[in-house]
Amino acid sequence: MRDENEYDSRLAAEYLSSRSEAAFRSLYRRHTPALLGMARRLSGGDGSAAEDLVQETWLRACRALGAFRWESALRTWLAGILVRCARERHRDAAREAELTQDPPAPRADRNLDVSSAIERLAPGFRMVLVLHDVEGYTHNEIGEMLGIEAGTSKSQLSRARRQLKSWIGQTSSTIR
Amino acid sequence: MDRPDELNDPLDPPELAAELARMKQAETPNPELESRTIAELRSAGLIRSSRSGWRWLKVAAFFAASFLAGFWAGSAGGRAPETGDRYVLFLYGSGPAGSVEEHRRWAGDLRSQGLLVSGVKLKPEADPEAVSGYFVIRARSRQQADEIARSCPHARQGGAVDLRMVDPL
Repeated sequence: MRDENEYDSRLAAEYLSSRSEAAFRSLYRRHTPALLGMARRLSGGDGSAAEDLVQETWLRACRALGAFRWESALRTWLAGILVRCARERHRDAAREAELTQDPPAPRADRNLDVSSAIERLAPGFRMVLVLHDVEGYTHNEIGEMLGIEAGTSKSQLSRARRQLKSWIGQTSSTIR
Repeated sequence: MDRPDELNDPLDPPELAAELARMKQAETPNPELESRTIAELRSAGLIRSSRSGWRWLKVAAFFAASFLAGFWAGSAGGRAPETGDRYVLFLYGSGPAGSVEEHRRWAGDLRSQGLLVSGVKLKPEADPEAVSGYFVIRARSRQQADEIARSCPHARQGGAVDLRMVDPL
């Protein structure tokens, strides 16, 4: 992983030194597949929205890359930018305080498949669940990405899981 | 990964946790997305235009004994090459020290995108500007092939490269 970040660092330095298209393309091709998959999951399966998110992420990243201190992996830094872009878009589109509202009821109450159930979660719930249970980020990392307390992330996850299980026909009695 | 704050936060049942974890998949981007992103960055002044005629540049050769060793390693794993025309990227001269790893990663990235067919290292010749290796790639257009060639570490470091389309006889 350290070697990978060193390679990213060299590409980034090359890009920054001359705004090199070739160096950017290399960075883009290394990281976009993972970012795009994550963006699609955060967008509830909306491919067009996912592409917009990735494009916006790279635009912001290229503006801020010179200030990146390489204290984390470049991929993690890019993921953080993507999450903030997604959150801003959700915030623009959703009603106020979506993160603290209960998600809307799905069209079917039970027996959705997991992917469909995730897509139907409210954006705030979906974001925390995807970041934690799919992408593997910790509550502390999610808190930093979303600008919320780790405890808030944890409680959101608990509610998102409970909702998810109820929609896929799992009992919620085992949620911890 | 050390996740001390996760110790009391497992997802039950494990089957659901495993199914969610399996959803973490990379996605092959539409080439149009790359073009759009480049265009937007260029309009924002965050990318400079590519130089023209790069394919025919022949600069002073770099000397390093290990150049090109292990190029083919980047072809291990990944997706099978996608459809498209085949092109051969010839590399001239030896590369700088440390370029082996860069080429290996670059080749691995191409392979993961289904764009690399193969790569070969040739034994060094007395002529320092002799062909030292080549990659066979697939691309949907000449433009995409050009872009791939420009991203090759050898080209980025000023080395001479030549891109030729395979005659589909």
